Amino acid sequence: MKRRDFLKNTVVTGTAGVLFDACAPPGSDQIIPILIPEEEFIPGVEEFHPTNCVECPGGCGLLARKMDGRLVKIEGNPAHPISRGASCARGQALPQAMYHPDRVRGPLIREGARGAGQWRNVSWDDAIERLVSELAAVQEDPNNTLAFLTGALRGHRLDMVRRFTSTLEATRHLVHEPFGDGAVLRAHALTTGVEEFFAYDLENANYLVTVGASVLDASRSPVRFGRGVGHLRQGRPGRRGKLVAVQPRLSTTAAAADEWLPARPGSEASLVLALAHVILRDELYDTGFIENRTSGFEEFRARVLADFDPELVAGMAGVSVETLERVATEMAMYGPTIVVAGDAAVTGPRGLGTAVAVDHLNALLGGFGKKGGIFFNQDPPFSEWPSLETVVPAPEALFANLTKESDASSGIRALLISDTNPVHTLPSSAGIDSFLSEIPFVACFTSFVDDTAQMADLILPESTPFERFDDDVPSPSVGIPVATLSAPMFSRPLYDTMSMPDVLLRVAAGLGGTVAEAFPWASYEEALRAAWSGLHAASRGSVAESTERRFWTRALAAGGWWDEDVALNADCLTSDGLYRFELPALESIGLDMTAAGDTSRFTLYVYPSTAFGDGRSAHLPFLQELADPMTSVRWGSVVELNASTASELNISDGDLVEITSDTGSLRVRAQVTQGLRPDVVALSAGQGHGEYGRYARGRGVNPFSLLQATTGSDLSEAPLQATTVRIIKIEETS
Amino acid sequence: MPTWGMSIDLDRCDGCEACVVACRAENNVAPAGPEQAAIGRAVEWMRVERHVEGEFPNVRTRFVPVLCVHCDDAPCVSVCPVSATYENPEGLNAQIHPRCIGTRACAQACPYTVRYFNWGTPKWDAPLEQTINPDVAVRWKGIMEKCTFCVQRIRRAKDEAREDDRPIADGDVQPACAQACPAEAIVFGDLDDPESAVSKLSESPRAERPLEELGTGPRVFYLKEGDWRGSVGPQSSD
Amino acid sequence: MLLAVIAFGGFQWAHQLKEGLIVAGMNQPVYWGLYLTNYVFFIGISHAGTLISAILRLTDAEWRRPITRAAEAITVFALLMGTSNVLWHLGRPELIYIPMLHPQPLSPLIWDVACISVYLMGSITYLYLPLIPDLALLRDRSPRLRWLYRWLSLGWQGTPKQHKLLERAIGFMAVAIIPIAVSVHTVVSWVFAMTLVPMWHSAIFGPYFVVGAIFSGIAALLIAMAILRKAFHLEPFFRPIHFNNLGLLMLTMACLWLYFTFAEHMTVWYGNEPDEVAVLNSRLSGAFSTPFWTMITCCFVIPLCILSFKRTRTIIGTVIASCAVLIGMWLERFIIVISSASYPRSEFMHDGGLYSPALVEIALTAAQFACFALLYIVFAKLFPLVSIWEIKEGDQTELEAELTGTAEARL
Repeated sequence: MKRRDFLKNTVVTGTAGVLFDACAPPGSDQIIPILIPEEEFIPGVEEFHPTNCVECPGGCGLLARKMDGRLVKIEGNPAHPISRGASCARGQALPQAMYHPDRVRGPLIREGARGAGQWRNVSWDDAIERLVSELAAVQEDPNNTLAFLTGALRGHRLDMVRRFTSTLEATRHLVHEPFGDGAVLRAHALTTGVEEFFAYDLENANYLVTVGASVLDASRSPVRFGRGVGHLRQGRPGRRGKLVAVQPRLSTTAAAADEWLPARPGSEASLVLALAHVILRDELYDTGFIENRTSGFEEFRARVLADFDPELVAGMAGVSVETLERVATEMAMYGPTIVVAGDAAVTGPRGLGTAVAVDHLNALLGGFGKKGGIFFNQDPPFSEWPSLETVVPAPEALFANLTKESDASSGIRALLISDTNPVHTLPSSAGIDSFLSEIPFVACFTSFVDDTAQMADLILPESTPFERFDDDVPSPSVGIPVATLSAPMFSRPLYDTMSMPDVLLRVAAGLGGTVAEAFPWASYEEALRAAWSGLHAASRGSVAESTERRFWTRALAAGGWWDEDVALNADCLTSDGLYRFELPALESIGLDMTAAGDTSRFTLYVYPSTAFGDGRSAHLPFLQELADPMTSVRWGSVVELNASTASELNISDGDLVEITSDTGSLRVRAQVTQGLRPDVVALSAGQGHGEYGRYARGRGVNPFSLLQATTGSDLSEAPLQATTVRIIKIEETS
Repeated sequence: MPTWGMSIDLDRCDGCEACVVACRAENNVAPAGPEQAAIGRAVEWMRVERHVEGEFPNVRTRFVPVLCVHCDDAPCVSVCPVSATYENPEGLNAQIHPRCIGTRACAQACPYTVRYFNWGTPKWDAPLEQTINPDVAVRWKGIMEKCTFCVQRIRRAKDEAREDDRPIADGDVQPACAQACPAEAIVFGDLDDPESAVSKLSESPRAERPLEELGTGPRVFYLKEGDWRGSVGPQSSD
Repeated sequence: MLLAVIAFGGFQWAHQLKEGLIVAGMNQPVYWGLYLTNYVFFIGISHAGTLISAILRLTDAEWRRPITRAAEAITVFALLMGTSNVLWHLGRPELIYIPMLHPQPLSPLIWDVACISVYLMGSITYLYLPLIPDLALLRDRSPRLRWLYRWLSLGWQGTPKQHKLLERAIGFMAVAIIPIAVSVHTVVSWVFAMTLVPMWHSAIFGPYFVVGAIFSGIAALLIAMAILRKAFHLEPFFRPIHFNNLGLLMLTMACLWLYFTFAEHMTVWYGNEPDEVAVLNSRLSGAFSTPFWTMITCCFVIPLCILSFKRTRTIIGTVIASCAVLIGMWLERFIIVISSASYPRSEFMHDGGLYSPALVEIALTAAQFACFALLYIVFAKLFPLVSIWEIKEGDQTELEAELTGTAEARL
């Protein structure tokens, strides 16, 4: 679709913020005075302000429509390479996050016991002072550690956190991202040396296979994949591509796909290698790529031909030999083909093996670096911030830490949390509660009091993306360097909030000494601008101006910077520059998956929901009211059961059932479906918040409370399809 | 004078429901809330119907976005006792809110079940009413509402075209649903303009008009799902 | 007690006015519920009165004489109750005048407004005209409310000239009211039949509804007569022969009703069109099967058993049959409105609807029945339910007939 002409009314407030916007809700108590008279808006005139979306890893560039001084609508930014003018259900609901009745309106200090939900309003000065004193205390005692727990951050927000953790003594950076696909990143690092999500040229591909990843509804980059698959299907006259989904449950993605392979959870890696077997056996692989750009092929071939015959795999995976043979042949014959892995399939002990197997399959098909294939991210040429002598602590997965034998919280005296909600999205058996209770001081940067913030001592209210400066480098991206930039669209935030990086700057200033010196900027805007000067210096791409000031203004107006003229590349960063057919990771995926002896137990499959993702969008009423595309559920949760399973258990559609795992149990209504393996029950993540505003609080159930957390696993996230459960029907008396 | 129409490509649609929320946000459709939604009172001018056939593992699913198809010969127009709905010269099936007395005859008569009634007064918990789009009237209890093909955007595009002294170009008007759709499944435009994208799509062999046999003359047509039969030449792509 | 029921209904309506129809049970896709059911039901009952008394007048059936007024009263009050449902049903009842100002002539609802208005005027006239001589009687004889009777009797003196004028007027009304009555329930049925909704869009809805109306009307009349007979000691006037004849009439209507119902459902079953079959199945064996088979039992089986045999065609027998018929016919309206509304075309509304009436709807339904009864009782208290002068006239006729030797033992 071409650019929308009516978007030519784009106006930016970045440098010249003279508009005073009173976004004052009637009757609400707030810290800033209520009615600031509107000075300069013309009724009926719309403005579009670029912003970036943080609801999912996709990182779409958006345009926020402002009318009468209010944010009323979100659109995609037509120029942005990821969104190209489109948006998703969750992005469309974002204005409700801005004007949500339960937003945190000012810094809060806990009163009463932790988790009691009693707070006292304090000023920012007091809040910063408290933070500074706590962190200073940590610095003084060498036995103390400060931990900064975040989600999978990107852009300079991540750089701020890393800089902060490196300048403070003894600081750890913990990361928690429940659907983070960490195994995919590690696999990519092993095979190509590039520890980043790949970019896929979907628009020119003919065949797309997704192993586990619900690429069209909730995983990683739904808008970009939606566009890509739409184009793959009907965007090229004369060609219609095919989408195949390998998942135990008929997700929205699998439903939209041309073929659904309901593989047994955990068998995905073997299934992928069975496909590879066919391709190897019939010599359908890309010999040119294999011979010139890879290493370790012979060993790999021998191994796969020996161990992964489709005859052996079919029964275990639950997909017929004919199907495996046919799909493999199709993949090779009707390329370009792309294979993607993600979600539950890349979690658990076989997760890394699955991701590696998928990489190898792509390599066999020779997709790396070819049109319709796979490319690597290219970073935008930012300027580096003044270098530091200190060492940046490597990010550690929170889940791995918690499941280690030793006491995860030992030594942590203070914990800062931002952009993650572990109390909701970790298996309760992982021990997040005791972890937090051991830590004397917990502060949380957040716009809402969610399950995790509820357990904090200090809440630092975060401005929404519409009220702050921020940037993002989307990943997965599209192969060219892309940097999104957003600025406040109002001259002041709606409430007494501050963006997390700005708070860090003030804390750094408060701490003084080397810490303060490491952050020589008055505001995060200044820091961003300093980094972005590198893009100006590059003198290329979507924004190229003679002066830095003009560059900055135009970049803010455009919503970012990208360079579409850069040649795509897939140059491996391994030591020899070749793709490595890594084998050790495949050790763990063996064919020893015996049929579950206990037929009364089912595998629990947990997946991100279309409306809420991992749960971070559950507070928005538009999304609660949205009927789930596959279950049609609104404002609640269901557990899905296969129809034959349900009839065996004497459970009918709508019955209340109790699901019990070794670590927890919950009650929820059942929904009977044909779109699920008989040995699997499926629960979507996202609901079951203890706290997250009135629309999400106490609504639905949280499957993480059932998940097992095996100790010593060294995994970055909880296994999402490795827990077995029992189900019984509950008789309702009323 | 344009005749507005829309094409929805079911082969591109992946059921993501971006259109559903985009429409809500653009047209100030308040959520009904959990109790009301549970008894079938959720108002969604654009909704996605899911058709599932078959038994595990051979399950076929189709997502069909459903909205008012702005019939040429609308059953709702005939039954309204007070002419609160009518077909305007540009082919839009318009709803006049102040005229509606709420008999709901139009809702019963509509074969697509795309008309919605305000059972109660739409409720926005403060300050969520700040998200209300000033271009679209908020409705009150006792009246009907439905998709308008984002008539406010049509008007805005016409105003801008008039200011610039040029005709409306194809693509100038994007209803909220069409604009949001990542898969570019929804195409909107002038059916009377043979060069417009939507006119060209209407000639596709995949195009079919919903419930055409009833004689309603729908101005929304669907492009049937394509078929992949193992070839790089396609079965049904245009 | 009736007032209590009515008052509760009024209170519920006020609640509904304030909160909106959100307090009622309708939803998407069942936009029409109990209010429409009652609308059709009461308007159906209203047919009895005028139609019976008109037809019987025209066919010179002497046995009609005592029952005509009771019948005509039912018509008027049933019409009033029926149309009151419009107020409960509308989203914005305060704007009820808009259809008058801006009618859309192609809408069956406007046809309803037109026909029912005419019918109401006609029925009131038709009730009033034969009442005049009795009003005069009351004016002359009654100890109370003289002023009311004097005003209403329009100076009637009983002169032959006035009688002739009256007879002509009544005769004219009797002829005119029949096509009006037929048109009323036909257009009421066309509110449904003119849509494309599965199992509403049927060619026979017009006659089907008219038959059903007459059917339920007779039943209502029978019950009313039985009650009044006991309450006001009208045994000499409401004789077993009346119940017998009306019972036979009702039996005929029952058969006719079954014929139409069968035709309606058979064609759907045979045609096998999926959207229509979905509704049919919901009636035969699905969500609506209990009301449906109850309806068949009440509307046909029970009346058939009771009314076929002279032995059981007693006053009590016919009353039992009538009660069954009324229940059955109310269920028939309910099923027609709601089962089709619940199963819209599956291609567009995958999950059907589920309707369960809410308190306000039930309260208003009960209030309508109570109000109907109350109005009737008030009428009965104020005005003679039996047309005194017509009976006298009938007596005279019989006397003459006897005297002239042609005894027609009809009374």
